[in-house]
Amino acid sequence: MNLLKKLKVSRRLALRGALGGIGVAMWLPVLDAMCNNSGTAFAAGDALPTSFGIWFWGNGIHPDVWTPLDTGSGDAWQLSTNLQDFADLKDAMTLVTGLDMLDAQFKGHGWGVVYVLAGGDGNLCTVMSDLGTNLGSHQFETSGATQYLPTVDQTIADAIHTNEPFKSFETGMLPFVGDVAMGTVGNNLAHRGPNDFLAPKREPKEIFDALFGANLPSTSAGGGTSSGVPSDISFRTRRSVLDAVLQEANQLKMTLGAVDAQRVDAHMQGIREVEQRIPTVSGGGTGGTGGTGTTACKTPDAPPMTLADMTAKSHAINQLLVAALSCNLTRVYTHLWAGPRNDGVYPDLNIPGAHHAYTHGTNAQEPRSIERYIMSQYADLARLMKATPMGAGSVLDNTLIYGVSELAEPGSHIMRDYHVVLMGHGGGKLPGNRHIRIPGRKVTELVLTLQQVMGLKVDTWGSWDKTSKTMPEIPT
Amino acid sequence: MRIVIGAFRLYPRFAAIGLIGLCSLACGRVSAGEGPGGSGQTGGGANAGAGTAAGGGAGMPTDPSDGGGAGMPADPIDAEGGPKLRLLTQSEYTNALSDLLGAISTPLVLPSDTPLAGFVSIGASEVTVNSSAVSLYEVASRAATAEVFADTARWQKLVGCQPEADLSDACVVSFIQSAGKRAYRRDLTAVEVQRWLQVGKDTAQLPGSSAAQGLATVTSGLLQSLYFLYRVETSKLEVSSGRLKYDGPSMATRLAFLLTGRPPSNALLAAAAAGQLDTADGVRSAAAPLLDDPHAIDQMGEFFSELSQAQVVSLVQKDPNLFPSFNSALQSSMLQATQLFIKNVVLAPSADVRSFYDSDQTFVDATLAPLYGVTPPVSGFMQVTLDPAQARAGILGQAAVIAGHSQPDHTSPTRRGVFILESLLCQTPSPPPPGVATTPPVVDPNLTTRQKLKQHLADPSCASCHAPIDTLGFALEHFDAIGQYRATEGGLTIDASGTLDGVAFDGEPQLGAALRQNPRAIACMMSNFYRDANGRADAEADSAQIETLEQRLISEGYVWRDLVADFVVSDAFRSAPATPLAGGNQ
Repeated sequence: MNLLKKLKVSRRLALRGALGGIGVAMWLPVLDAMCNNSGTAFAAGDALPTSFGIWFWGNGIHPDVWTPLDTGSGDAWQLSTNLQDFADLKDAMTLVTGLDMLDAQFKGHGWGVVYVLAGGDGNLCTVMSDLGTNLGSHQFETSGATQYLPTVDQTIADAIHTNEPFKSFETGMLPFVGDVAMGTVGNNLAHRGPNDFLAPKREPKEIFDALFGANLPSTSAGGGTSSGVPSDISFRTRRSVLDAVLQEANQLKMTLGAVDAQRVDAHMQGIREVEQRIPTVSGGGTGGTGGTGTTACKTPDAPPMTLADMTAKSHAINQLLVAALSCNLTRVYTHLWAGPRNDGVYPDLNIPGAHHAYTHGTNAQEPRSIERYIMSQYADLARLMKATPMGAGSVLDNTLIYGVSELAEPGSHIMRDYHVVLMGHGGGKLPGNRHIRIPGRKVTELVLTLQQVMGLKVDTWGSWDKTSKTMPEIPT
Repeated sequence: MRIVIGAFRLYPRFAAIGLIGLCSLACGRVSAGEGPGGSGQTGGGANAGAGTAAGGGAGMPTDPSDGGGAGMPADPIDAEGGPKLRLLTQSEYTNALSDLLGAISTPLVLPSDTPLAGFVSIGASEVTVNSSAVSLYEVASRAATAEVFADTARWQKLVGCQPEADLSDACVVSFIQSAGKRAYRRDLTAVEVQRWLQVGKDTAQLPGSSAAQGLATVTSGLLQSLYFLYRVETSKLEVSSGRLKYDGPSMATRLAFLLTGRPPSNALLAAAAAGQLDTADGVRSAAAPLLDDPHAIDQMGEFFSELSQAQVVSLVQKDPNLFPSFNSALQSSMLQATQLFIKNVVLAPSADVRSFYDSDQTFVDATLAPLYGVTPPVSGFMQVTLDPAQARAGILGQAAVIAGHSQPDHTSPTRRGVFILESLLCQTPSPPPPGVATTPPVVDPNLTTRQKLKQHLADPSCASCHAPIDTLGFALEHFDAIGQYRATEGGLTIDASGTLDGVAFDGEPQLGAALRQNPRAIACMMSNFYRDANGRADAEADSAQIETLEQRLISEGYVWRDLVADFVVSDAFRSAPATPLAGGNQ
């Protein structure tokens, strides 16, 4: 992985090779000049870059309003009640239902979130047999909860990242609410290891600034220009500062024990990633991040400081995310709508209570309505992607989104019948418009398959339900 | 990446202190007094290591690249409990920044604090800084320095001399040395000074640049240095005690941040360099002025605020139809009132800290007063004596704490009970056992919450676990979901009676009185303080130190300031265990 960091940007169209024993495909920004005449591929014949996203929402689903009656392709199946907002996007949906986790017995939100995102926590002992006596090791649903293994978005980012300014980009909607602590998994999706998380940005303005460069202060002394676009001076000085900080960090690392030295290593990797985002030439219209991309790539307008409601804010975030993809600022993105066991409220729906509490109450309709609303916002993202050209197709054609919750039916916490909403055609690898119901198969098999769709040369996945089985039903 | 796939013992754990997520009506088991179990295996010390920096004399760390043997990695010592890199918390960062640059008015976005095991100080020892946090630190440092260096008078005052345009003079070196010392909390090595000087010169000499820009760049660099962002604590094995003893500069930093939340002054660093912090007496005299610092009370208060999870009130939501008064203004008043209660009652001069549990005093402003049924003050907050008719006392009577541990539309004896057990008695309930359904059966609406829960507890396997949790929670049943007193529950009589370790109570004030006298409660408070102050979870190797602290608290007449003064001179603060800390996996 570190090798990737040392590679300088070249103008070769795609570089394939084996690094560290893992075959990877590395991509460069999509410039029109690099495409063939039809825009379906690079001039050299390679496919356009695909991106991978995770769209996560907490508190599961109610199968009675989620599971389509029929399975199959095309008109053989129809969208269920809670997926109605995808009506115009059904052709890009691959709905996978019936999946299980472990023994399909009671576990809980904390177990679910490490399972669906990271394939487990690496220590099967904590979930088997006696939960109570094994708490000493890894804890779930506590203030010490975290992801012990990298979440799959990071695994994929490590493999497919080349020179996009952001190796991965994290957004979120609702901050964690609830009196039961969920540790670092409550507020963060992407993790690279225990307590090593990439915090999602939840404010459209903050997301805009990070992606499109206005976050860099500009004053006469600070190196910027009055327009807010950083000057060449600031690019050069930023790089020399980060280099000096890296040298010092190396010095510090030599004095530390193993655990702290690993933390410094991660910090140094973070510095290198930020350094890679600094353009090598004076910034033009793309601001400080130096993004380049397709003709559809244009810097969006800054979002308004105040947004009318939850839906407006969600839409603003979705717009920025799609802009980032069309400009090839990143190829891996995660959106944490709301974390596991979140007690978020939905005033827009005129529902007074909190989401998680409803799933254990006797109110039948409220949690179902909340789930449908959440899906409408997922659909909004997909719709924006569909409307945004990339090559001869759209962003949606060239992405794959793993839409997942930590649970299936939330009232009982039974880890059975997960519903995974895949969106996008993954660069032509997913035909879409399918409902695949495969009861008893494991979520890990699906996640392994998704990694292979993304071009990773991996043949096993998961520390719980570790598997080498894939789901040939998913890709074409 | 902190990943060692295949090794089971990845991490110091926080057994027995995490808050277990019980669904409000779920069945669970309480493993009272049960030590953390575990079936993983010790990873042969693969992940353990001493954070011991070798180094030159106090205050003069040796740069490895300076040559010489000093600065080479110390022999690994199997000491997970030993020194750790502690990332500055948001408030520590802000304080250290203004210590260096003066007050900054530009709004800065910093990485969030991460509370782990209840305290952000523990999170600061565990979290990893990655690209998203690096980016925030970079932007913040550049914004803060840009503000200062945009104003000629301001930066010239900061720098203290007028540099040449190309930064070639001694003025710049002296600035890097003095600013670096404030930032790193130690003297910079010659190599470090030279490195930043070069960064400054390179910047100043760019076309269109200036001396100010060079100095601004250096300053923002110091603020991005890991030596600024982390508290790098160093120690040496003390043969006589077998413990890792913190060196002078580390003690200066530990003292200053613990007692004032701020970096050490140059005077304190000088005292450390002179060896004055190597002895208990020296630490005691260095701590005395810090304990009198106006910020010391805030720091002590922050511990109790985190302990009581008062800040949770700002995260919870309530049913607006049932509780139309519950808005951000009320949430803010609740939180402030609890903080004032802690600082002015629990931590009042010579106060018995056990008033935390059972004081009849609190604070209200005009927003909060109606909820407590007291006369609102004309302005601001006012200390009031609670109305005995509204049985309310101590921390568990604070609206912030109650509202933070309730459902949006009803009380939750289970949530409240788990909080009391876990945070105030250090007893961790287990999560619901496998296979249990947590969807409650339909209950009779003409029953009190307690009666409904009794229906749920008809199953003996539930009752055995829920009884200890819910009994404590029932004591708070006179407070509704936002902490408002209620004589009855919709006209039904409330039963708020129960027992704690054999002591009977009826209602929250009596539970508070029982906690005041409960040895487990005092021991738990000391464990939590020890964890928070050291920034790590405690384990078996720490138990003797914690017991000593309990004895000190008693002998100091339960006056918290005196306990803290004793703590900072004790081995519990001046050194760390050098043996592997026993965690969950024996």
